[in-house]
Amino acid sequence: MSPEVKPDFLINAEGLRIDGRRPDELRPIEFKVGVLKQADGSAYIKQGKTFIIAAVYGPRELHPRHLTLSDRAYLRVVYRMATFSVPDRKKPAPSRREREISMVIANALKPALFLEDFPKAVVDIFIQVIQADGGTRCAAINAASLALADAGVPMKCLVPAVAVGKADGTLIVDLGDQEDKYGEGDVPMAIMPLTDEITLLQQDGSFTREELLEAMQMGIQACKYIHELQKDALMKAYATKAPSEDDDFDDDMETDLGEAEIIGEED
Amino acid sequence: MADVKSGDIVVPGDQLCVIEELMPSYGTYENDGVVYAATFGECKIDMKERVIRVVNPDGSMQIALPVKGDIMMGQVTNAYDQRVEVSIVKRNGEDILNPFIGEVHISNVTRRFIKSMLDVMQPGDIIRAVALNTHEIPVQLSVVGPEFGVVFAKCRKCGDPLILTTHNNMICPRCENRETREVASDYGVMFGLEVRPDLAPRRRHYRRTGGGNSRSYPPRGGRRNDRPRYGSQGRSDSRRGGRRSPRHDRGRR
Amino acid sequence: MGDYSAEIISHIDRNHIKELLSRGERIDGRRFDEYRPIEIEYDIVAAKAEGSALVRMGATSVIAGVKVVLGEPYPDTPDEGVTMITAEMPPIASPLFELGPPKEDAIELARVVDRGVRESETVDVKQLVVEPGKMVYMVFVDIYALEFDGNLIDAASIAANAALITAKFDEYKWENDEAVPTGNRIPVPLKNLSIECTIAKIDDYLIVDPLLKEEFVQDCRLTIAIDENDNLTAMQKGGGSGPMTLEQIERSMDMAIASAKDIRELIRSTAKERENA
Repeated sequence: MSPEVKPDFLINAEGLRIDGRRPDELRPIEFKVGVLKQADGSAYIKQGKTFIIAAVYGPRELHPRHLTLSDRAYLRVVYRMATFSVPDRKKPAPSRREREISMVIANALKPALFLEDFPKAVVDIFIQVIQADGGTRCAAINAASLALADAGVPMKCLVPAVAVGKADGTLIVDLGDQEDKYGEGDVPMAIMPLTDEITLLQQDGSFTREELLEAMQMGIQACKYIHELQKDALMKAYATKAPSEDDDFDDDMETDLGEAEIIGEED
Repeated sequence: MADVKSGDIVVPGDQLCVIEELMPSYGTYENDGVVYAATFGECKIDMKERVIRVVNPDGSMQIALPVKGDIMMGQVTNAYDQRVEVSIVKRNGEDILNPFIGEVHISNVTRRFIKSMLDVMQPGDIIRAVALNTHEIPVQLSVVGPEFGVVFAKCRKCGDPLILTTHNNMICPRCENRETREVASDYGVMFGLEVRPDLAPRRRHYRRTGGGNSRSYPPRGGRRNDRPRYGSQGRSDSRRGGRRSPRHDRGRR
Repeated sequence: MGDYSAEIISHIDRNHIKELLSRGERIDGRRFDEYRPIEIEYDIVAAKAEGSALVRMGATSVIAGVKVVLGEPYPDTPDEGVTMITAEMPPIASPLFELGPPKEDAIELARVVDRGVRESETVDVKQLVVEPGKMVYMVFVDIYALEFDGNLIDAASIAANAALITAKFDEYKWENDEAVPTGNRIPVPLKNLSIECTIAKIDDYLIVDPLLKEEFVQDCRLTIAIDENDNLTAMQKGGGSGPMTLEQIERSMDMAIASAKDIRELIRSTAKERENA
C-alpha cells in the first residue's frame, strides 16, 4: 500500500545492485516438485520474493471440443496473479497482460514437448502467482516445466528461463521488481539447454546490438545454472517417491549427481 | 555400453545411450541416433528385449493416462450397434474427476456371438472393464471375463434399477420389463441390488414347474412393492433354484 | 463435464459410504465430529500482502491474502470502513473447477465466507476511518483454493480469519485534505472471531468436514458460522437439495459449536506462536 520510492541508483559504486547482488548473480531460487495433490503434476518456485505455483492437468480431454487439434495435444496455459500478489490490489478479472503472458509461456514450452503423442487431448498448465517481485514470467516457465516433468508429460528437456536487463548501463541477470521498473531494459528469455535454442525472447528498453547479444549469452549461462537447480529439485522429488526399503538410494543419487556435473563440465 | 544403468534416476533431456545399444521405449525419445530421457524417473534396461524405458520405482508410468491392464469403471454414454462409448470415472479404484472417453467394441464383449451391442449394454449402464491400449484417448476397453461387464443398469422404460434374475437376464421390479446385459459376476453388489432367480421366466425345462402350464410364471403376490430392498434379505435365498445358483453365489461373495 | 463424473462417482460410491456410516465409520477413519488435522502457515505473501495465511486440511488447501487500501466510504455509511471478502475456485485446485468466470458454487463460497466474517462483525469497521465521509480503509480478503478435497468453505473461513488476525497495515492520518502515512503499522481492528463449520448430511448421519467423496454423496450440507460468544451469526444450507429436520439442525449446531471452539483456539495459538517467533 505504501507508495514506492524510486531508488537513487540501481548499481552502486562497487558495482553491486540494490539488493547486494553482483550483476550476473541470480536471486536465491527454491524449487519444490509435487506440491499439489489434486494436480497431475505441480511445482512451486520461490525466486527471491517471487512465489509461483504451477500445476499441470492432463493430457486429458479437451472441452470445448472445437479447440481440439487432430494431430497433437493442445497446450493451454493460464497465468493468473493473485489480487494480493502486487503492491496495489489487482483487479480479480484476467487482464490483457495476463493473457499475453499465458500465450508467451505456452510458446516457450511448446517446442520442448512431444505434444504429437497425444492427439485431440489437452495439456493444461495453470500458473498462480502468489507473490510477484519481478521476473514472474520466467519464474513461471521454470515452475511450469518442472510441473510438466512431474506430470510425466514427455519432453525433450526442461526449459529454464531468466530475465536479463540493463540498469545504469550495466547488464544484469534476474531482475528484481525495482530493477524491472526503473531499469533501462529487460530481456526475458527461455532456452532448451540440450540444444541452446531460445524458445522465449522478449525485449523492451533500448539496447545496442552488441549489448543484446551479450545479454543473451549471459541469459544462456544463467539458464544453464537454473537447469541444474531444476534437475536437483526433480531428484529430490524422486527420493520421496522411491520405496523406503531402498537403502543405498542416497549413494545412487550422489553418484548420479556427480555424473551430471561431469557431463556439464564437458559441454 | 549405455551411459546409464538400470536404476539410475534421469530427468528429461539426459542422454541415455545410442540407438545401436538399446531401443527407446516409454519415457524416452531418439534424436540423431542418441536416446534421451523424455520423462523423469528410473531407468529400466531390459537386456532381453534390448529396450530402455524411464518409469517410476514401482514400474508404473508417471503420466495420468490409462495403461493396458488398468481396471476402469465408467458409465455408458452412447450405444451403437458395433460399439459403445464409456465415460470412465475410476481407474484402478481411484476417482478420475476428468472423465476419459473409452470405447468397447463388439469384439471385446464376450466369446459368444452377439448380434448387437444394444443387447449387452445400454446408455446409462455402469460397467467395469479393462484397458486394452496404453496412453491413448479414447481408451479401448474389454469386458471379456467374469469380473468385467455391467455392474449396474437401469430399466429402459421406467428408469428403475434392473435386478438380475439369471445370468445376463434382468428384470425391472417396477414395470416387469425384461432386458439383457453382459453382466459382471458382482452385478448390483455395490449398489445393494439382489439377485432374484425366482423372477426368472419359467421355461419348459425349468425344474420347479409349479404344475399345469409350463409357460406360466410363478406366483407374484405383492411384487409391485418389491422394489430393491437395500441391505434387506429378500426371499430369493430360500427359493433360489439349484441349477443356476453357483454362478450367483460366486458373484455375491 | 466435471459435474457429470461427480454424479457417476457418487452413484458408485454411495452404498459403500452409507454402509460405513451405518457402522460408525468414515472413509478416512475419522469420527463423525472430527476435523482433519488443520495446519496454518502464516506470511506466505509477506512482501506484498498486509496479511496472509495458507490453511491445509488434509488434501484441501487454500491461501488467503489481506490487502488494505484507501478509498472513499459508501455514501450510506460515511463513518465506516469497508471489508470485502472474495473467494475463487481456480482450475489449479481441482479438475472439477473450470476455466472462465466464476460458477454458482464459487460465488456461493465467496458469499458464505463473506457473510460469516461480516455478519459477526469480525472487523470493527468503525475503526477503519481516516476521515469520515472522505477516506476510509478498505480491507480486502481474497481467497484462492489451491487443492480441493472437500469442505472448501471451512478452509476458506479459517484462512480468512488467520490472515486477518495477523494482518498489519500502514496507518494514515488526514492532513490538508489528503491522507498522509504516519509511519506506524497497525493491526486490523478485530472484535470477534467467527468460524464457519460445515456439516454434511448423508441419510440420517451428520458428519463434519466432509471429504470430496462424501460431498459427492451428501444429501445436503449446513454451514454454520459461530462467533466468540457461541452465537450463530450465519448459516447456509447448500450442496444439494436434501431436506433436514429440525432435530438434525439442532444436532448440527451442537457439533458446529464444539468444533468452532477448537478451531478458534488453534488460530489464536498459532497466531501467538508466530508473534513470539
